[in-house]
Amino acid sequence: MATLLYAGGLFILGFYLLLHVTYFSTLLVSLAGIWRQPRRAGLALPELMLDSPATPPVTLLAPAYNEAASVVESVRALLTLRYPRLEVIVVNDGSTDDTLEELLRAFSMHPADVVYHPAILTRGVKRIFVSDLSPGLMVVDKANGGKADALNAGLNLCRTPWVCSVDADSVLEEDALLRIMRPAMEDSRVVACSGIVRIVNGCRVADGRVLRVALPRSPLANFQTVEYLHGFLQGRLGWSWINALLIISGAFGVFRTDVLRAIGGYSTETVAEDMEIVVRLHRHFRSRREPYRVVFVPDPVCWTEVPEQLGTLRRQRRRWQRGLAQVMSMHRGLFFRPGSGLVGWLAMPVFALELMTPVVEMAGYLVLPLAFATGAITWNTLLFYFLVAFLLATFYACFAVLLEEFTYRRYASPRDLLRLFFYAVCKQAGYHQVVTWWRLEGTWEFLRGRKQWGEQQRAGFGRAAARRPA
Amino acid sequence: LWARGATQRLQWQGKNQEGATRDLLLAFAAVNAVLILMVLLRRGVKSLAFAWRDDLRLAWAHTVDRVLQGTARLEEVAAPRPPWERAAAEATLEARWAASAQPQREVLRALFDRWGLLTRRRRDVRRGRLWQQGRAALLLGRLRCQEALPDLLWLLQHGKAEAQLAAISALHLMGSPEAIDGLVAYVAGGKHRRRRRLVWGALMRCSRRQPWRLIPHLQQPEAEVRAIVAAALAETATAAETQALSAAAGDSDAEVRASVARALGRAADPRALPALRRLAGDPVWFVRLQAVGSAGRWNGGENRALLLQATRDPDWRVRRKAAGALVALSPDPVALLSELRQQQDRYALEAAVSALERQGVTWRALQTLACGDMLERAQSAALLRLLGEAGKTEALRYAAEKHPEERVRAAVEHLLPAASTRAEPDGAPVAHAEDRRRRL
Repeated sequence: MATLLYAGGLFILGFYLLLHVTYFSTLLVSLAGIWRQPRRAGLALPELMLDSPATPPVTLLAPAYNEAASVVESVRALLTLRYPRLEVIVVNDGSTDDTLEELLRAFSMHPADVVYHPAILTRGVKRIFVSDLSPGLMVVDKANGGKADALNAGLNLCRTPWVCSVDADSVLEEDALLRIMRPAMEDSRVVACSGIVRIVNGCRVADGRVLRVALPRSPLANFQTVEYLHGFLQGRLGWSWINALLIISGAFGVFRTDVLRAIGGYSTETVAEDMEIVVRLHRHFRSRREPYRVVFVPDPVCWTEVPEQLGTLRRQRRRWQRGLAQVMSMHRGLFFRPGSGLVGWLAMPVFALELMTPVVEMAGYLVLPLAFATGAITWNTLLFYFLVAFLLATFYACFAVLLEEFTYRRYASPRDLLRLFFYAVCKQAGYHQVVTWWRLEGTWEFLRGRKQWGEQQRAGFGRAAARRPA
Repeated sequence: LWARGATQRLQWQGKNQEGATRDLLLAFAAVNAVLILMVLLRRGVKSLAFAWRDDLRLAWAHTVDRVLQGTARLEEVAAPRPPWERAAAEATLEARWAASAQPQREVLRALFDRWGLLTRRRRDVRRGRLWQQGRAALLLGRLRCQEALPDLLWLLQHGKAEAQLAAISALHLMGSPEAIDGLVAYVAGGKHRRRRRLVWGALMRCSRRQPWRLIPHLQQPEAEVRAIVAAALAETATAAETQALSAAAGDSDAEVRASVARALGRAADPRALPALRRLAGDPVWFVRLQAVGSAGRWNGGENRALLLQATRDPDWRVRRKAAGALVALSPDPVALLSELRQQQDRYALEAAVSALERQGVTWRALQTLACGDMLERAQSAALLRLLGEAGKTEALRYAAEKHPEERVRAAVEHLLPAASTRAEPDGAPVAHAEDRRRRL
């Protein structure tokens, strides 16, 4: 028994050592990236893109499901983004409320027989509407098929060389599109680009614009703020630097249209379609040995709402974990494959470790006290393990806040800064363990073969609630 | 026994082990504390520094405003000496420059010169650190400082990507035709490959007033150079370049030919038609596509014939473009739709309907069914009947169901049965199948 516990302890130690080595490496890489990024962004000015015919036209794809309360305001905000050649396609994914009617009324829309090439198969498209008021706006009304299916329908209708997927309930900053397209202007190898997603809870929003940035009131949303800072400023920047970025957030990302079509559009087989499509992009280009880049830029901002209820957060985290497991399983052929580069030899294995984290961590919470109780380890060692885990996680969280402060400094109030540190430290005392448990549930759901999205409730920033379908 | 054992183990065991553990934990805690303190300290220092900098800028803004208003003479104002004063003065001048009209800009430019800021920035471009070089180049570009052109072209040949990026942006901002040769040399040097769009944008901006300067470069030996030059001409060419462009229509590179086709359309010169007709018969589909798009840019009997011919092109994209162009040119959509229906090409017909729908023609026809005069009503009914016969009943069905006007709903109800019985024109499914085969 003691030998078994000893071996288990060693495994957990080795696992975390490996995980933290990768975390620390991405941290160092992101440090270099975060230093260069704002300076480099200052050299290619967005105003040059505004009046240049060289700026590629972009279509914004906004899938909407039961967003009647907010869709008009969101679409208005999308139409007023600063970008020279912009089209907006809103896909009404079989809403059961008045989403479609609200759009038709607000933008004076009428059905039209526009050319629709179903190059990617989707659930039935019922009608396509064009607007009298905004020539760049189209609405596709289709049967409910989920977010990926809605994006594919929009992709079939898109006529521009670049598409941008956005959530209909997110808020983009006015020049976010100009900034996110900057890497595509600078480097012809760029095929996809991700912006940063920040948390809108607590901010003042009017007419689809964030007027004042502040931290949320709810502790749950604050913990997520720290998580988002860590995930975007530290993780994605590092992965992007070595061209092994595996996630482009579904809330805000641009892709080359021809490439998306060539790989068959978004997959409806997974709940993490945003991650799956990026992995497929890597696979596509690596197998053809063509030069490409998938990049993350931290200055274009998309503000999104995060759950403030435990139940909703639990569903979201379970879904994320299931999605991660699905993607890893779908693309298991990419692991350690010759020619797969850093994606197959580093990023995918690290994400596989990340996938296993809840199982190993929960095992750790069981094994270590058991080992202590049976005398296999001392109290000293037990305490050491827990404290090291706590301090390391706190270090990463605080470092993310430091990166934010040294670069973009969105939270201007000193009180907000202190609160960010408070939540960065407290995240490990309960919140992290609860989320780990939910992720474990997500793993279990994956093993049982569950594929649905689950309901997602949103409080709305001054708007009514909406739910995503099962 | 278990409880007693556990209680005993609660004590720290082994002096060395205790010390090492404590040290490690303390080190971790100290690192975290240092991180937090660093951020707080930086926030405090920055706040003070920003306040001080704002005060300095305000003081310089007063000085600059006095010169602009004529209450102080240029010679009376002392130049900023320490680096922080220079930075504040420069930031103030830059802000004023962005918000000023031309006469005021001359005064500001004189201030820049007099205070030695331009010389300093030109020196930074040549000898500064990488980010300094970039910032200096952008400032010189914004001020359209022609004297700095050699420095910017020098920076374009710099080994670092960031420096090249800044130089291209600066040349774009400056928009000077004298920079064209330098930019083309940069392309010919092969360094531009990843920054093609930026170089293209800069070339367009620089050649906006003098597109003829690009013409000699269409003879360059490298296809890559000719392609980027032709792409810039496609956005800047005027009628004066038609002859030279027509000569370039026989280029060996398809990309060049496509851009030339586009440029010929921009000039909207009937002299371009022979070259356009040649390009509309090009073996490469995207060259034909551009030629057809260009032919649709101006109205005339000959280019209409070219477009009608293009609606029978083997490539569906070209047919779609031609149909769209015909819709844009045609004053009578009914006649056009009848003509296209006779050709039994589903793509061309769908493209024409699509273009009509996007222009809102169908919906307007539905509105006039209720309130237009008799002639308008007859024209609208004819158009809607034709759409229905072509199987395009989406708008009609929707209007029959949801249009607010009773009269429109009744008229549409009347039109719909005829439409549904003749939804597919004879031979259309065959044409559709053939199109699919071609695409595959």
